[in-house]
Amino acid sequence: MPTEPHDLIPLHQRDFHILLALLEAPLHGYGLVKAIESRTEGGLRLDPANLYRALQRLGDDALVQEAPAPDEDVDSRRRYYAITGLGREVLRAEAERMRSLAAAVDATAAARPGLD
Amino acid sequence: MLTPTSVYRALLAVLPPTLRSRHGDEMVALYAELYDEVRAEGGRLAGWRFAAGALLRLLFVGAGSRLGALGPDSPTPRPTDPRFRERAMLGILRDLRFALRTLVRSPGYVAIVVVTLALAIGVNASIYSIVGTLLDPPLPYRAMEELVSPLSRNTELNRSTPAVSRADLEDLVAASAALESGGGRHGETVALTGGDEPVRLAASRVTVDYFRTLGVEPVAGRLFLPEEHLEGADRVVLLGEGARDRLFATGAPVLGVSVSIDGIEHTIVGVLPRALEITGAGDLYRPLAGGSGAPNDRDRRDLHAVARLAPGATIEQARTDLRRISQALQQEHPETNRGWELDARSLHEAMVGPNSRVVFSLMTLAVAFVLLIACANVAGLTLARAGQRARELSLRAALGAGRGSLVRTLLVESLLLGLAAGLLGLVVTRWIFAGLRFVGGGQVTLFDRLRLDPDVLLFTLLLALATPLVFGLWPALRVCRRDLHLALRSGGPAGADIQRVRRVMVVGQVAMAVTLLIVAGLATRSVAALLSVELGFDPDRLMSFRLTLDSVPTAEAPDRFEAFGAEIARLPGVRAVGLANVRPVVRAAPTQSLSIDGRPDGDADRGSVERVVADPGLFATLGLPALRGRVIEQRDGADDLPVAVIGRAAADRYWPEGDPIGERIRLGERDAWRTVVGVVADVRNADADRPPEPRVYVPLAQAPTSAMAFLVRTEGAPADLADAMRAAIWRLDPRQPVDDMRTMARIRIDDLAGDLAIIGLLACFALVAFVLSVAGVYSIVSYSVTQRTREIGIRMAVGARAGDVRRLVTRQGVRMVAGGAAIGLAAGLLLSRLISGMLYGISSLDPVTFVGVPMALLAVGLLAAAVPARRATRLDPALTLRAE
Repeated sequence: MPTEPHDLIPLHQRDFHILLALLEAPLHGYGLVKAIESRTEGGLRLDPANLYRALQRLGDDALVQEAPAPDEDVDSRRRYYAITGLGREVLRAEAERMRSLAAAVDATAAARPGLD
Repeated sequence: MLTPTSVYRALLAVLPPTLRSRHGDEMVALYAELYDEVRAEGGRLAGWRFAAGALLRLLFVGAGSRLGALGPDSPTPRPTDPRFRERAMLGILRDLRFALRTLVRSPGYVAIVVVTLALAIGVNASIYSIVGTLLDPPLPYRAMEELVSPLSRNTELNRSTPAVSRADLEDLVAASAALESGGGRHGETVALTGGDEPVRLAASRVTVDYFRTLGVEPVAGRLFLPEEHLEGADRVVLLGEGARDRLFATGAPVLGVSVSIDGIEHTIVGVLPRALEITGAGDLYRPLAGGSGAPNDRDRRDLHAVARLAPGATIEQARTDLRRISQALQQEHPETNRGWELDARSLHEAMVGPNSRVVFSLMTLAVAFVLLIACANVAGLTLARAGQRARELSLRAALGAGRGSLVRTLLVESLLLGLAAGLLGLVVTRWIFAGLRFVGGGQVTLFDRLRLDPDVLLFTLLLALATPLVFGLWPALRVCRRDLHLALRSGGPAGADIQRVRRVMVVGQVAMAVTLLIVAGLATRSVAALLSVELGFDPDRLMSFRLTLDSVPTAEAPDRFEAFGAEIARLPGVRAVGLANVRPVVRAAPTQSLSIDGRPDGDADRGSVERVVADPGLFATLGLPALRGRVIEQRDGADDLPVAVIGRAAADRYWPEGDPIGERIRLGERDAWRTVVGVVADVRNADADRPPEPRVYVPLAQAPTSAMAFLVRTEGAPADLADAMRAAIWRLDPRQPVDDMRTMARIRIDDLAGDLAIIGLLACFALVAFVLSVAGVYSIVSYSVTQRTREIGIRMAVGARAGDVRRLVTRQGVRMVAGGAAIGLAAGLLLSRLISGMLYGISSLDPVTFVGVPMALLAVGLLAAAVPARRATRLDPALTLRAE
């Protein structure tokens, strides 16, 4: 039975950033580490063990799958990973969740100005 | 080879099989890529940090995945599942609490393990740091391996000096294709005025290419310009960072500032790196100008030179060139270069010394031994404890604890112990550095720059952590949980293994302790011999200092010195005052060639002797009575007959048969002919391990000198009068710097500072090793008594006497100690051969050491075994038999 996106959120911070990085294009391990490091400005530096455990789990949940290497790197023996359709949906659902949380914060702060 | 990547690959084994097989290779590749990147950007330390972090996280991922597998929940619970996190956190906290409780229950074990490991960690980390700093001095030179140090040697006159003459230096750099540049420096002391106190600084004059050859960059300002090396244009100064900080307020500008050096205004044009102070070249530098005091005099070999090898050249090529050039120079300039050879050695060797490698290898060996002994001890204790906890562990297993849980318990305990040991080890390192600085007493400037090498600390920490881990886990993992209890008992298979391993380790410990003790013993006896060398004078209650008279013409210096001397002599507590141009032990006297009236000036008789300028008070102060004739007296004034007094070595060498009194001698080319009026006993100078050199004393009044050392014999402790002496000098001249005021006792210690420091360390290690191995013997024998209570009970019940039981128990201990001592003795013999070159006053087979040490260890080892043996004899057979 295919899993519902909502069963898989909230996402662990690591998983969220991996999916976000893969949203743009398929990446290999090193590329993922660098993309995430740059997006979080050094805040999240993944080490090999955690990265691949997360990839394995995301693969088991069908959010991520192995992909063929892109054209410019077609001879390399690196393994590339791409986000799946389900993965895209989960990412969107998570973004929606965060958006509603952020809106709640803004609304509450606006209603009670003295709390700033 | 143990590269970080191979370690990472090996540790993949902790991962669950699925993760490992699917992504293992990728993980290793990614790890290698990231490590290289971090290392390239951040250096070795950053690389280590990354590696440690990645390895730790690997372990946690592995442990975490497996932990999940042991629980009743779903196979791979999501990390965001609140239940998982809660359970994991509770689990970790629970483990910590449990581990702490267990450890607290055996305080003896914890204390011994932590202290043992801390000592080993501290000692290892400090020694490797020290050796690292000493072997690799942090000098601001470019490509130090390309630098060589030329030296001059004259085999006929049996003299060699690590210096060359200026003309020779220019010639050798120009004529050798193997050398691309060269420069030299000439040491001097200068008086700097304008500050709070007149201050005398060590300084150097350097040739045009000196700094360029070394590759030194200034930290502020610039280096000298070529035109500043000309007479008249050389009123510029380069200051060392340390001197700048001492002389000027922080942040005050120094470039372009004018200072007065020896009464002449100079401008500061640059500041040099602090690290240069290690070389002892001094606090400030001035250009060596052409034409000042005949610097081209080929006979003045007073430049400490460095030269840089040309690209691709080797030091051997340079040395060959130098040999060839020496021949040419001997032909072209026979009057100055006859018999003189030029040679070179690497700058590194010139700085660090030829004996250093052996000493450092010894220290690293010694310290590695201590580490091994410590780890062996801890391993033994942990194994014993594992055996004792067999019951507890098997009970938990029977109640359903998975192997993972048992492993985790032991893991956390070991980590806690290791952590504590690591922290304590850092403290030990700090103590050791402080101790070395104290002994060095400012003489060994390198000790001030000791820094803990982070690589070393990390390595030792990991080793210390691994030891209790491995030796605690190994028995637990070896057997299946059900049999744990039975297997770990001393009769069971794993139990017997454990005991055998422990016995072997104790033999090893004893061997290492014996070796260390032998080496330490030899070194100690050698230094003791050095210290008790017959000095020729009484070193007690002797204070000394130097005065250099700048503002007085040299001809008037003797009167001035006499005034100072009289002022000092008036102080209460002063028994005698004497002056000499060099102080015994501190420095060798300058040498000059000796001519004897009536003897042809052939090479055979043209020896060189030490020249000491002395006032009449020197002989009484040092306690040097005349062996023949008289000493220098007041009547030997500037207008009186030129006289000299000679030492016994000179008398024996040059007048073996006849009487030197009344003979006429001359030192060098320009002195007057002097009549020998007396012979005095010899005094040892620097280099205690060489016999006294022939020396000639000339009266200060007849050989005015501007720089003299004062030797003051006091009634009580000389240090008490230090302030009074300085005040006495300043009463006569408030602007006179008083230099290097030290008691003779301190001078002797400083002289041997380096050796004493090494001995101290060796002795420490040996002692620690000794204590640890004795403890090891005790604990093994004690343990075996506990295990064999039943057997002993039976023996006593069937009639064995106390003596038999004692012998039975101690036999095991004796075998281990004897075996270890034999191995240690053999190793000690081998090592002593290596260091025989450095020993003084004792043979490398010194019987006192080689017999004393094994005896001592045997005796103490027997004692250690005897205590539990006595306990065994006190066992009541009835009780023991009933207990089982």
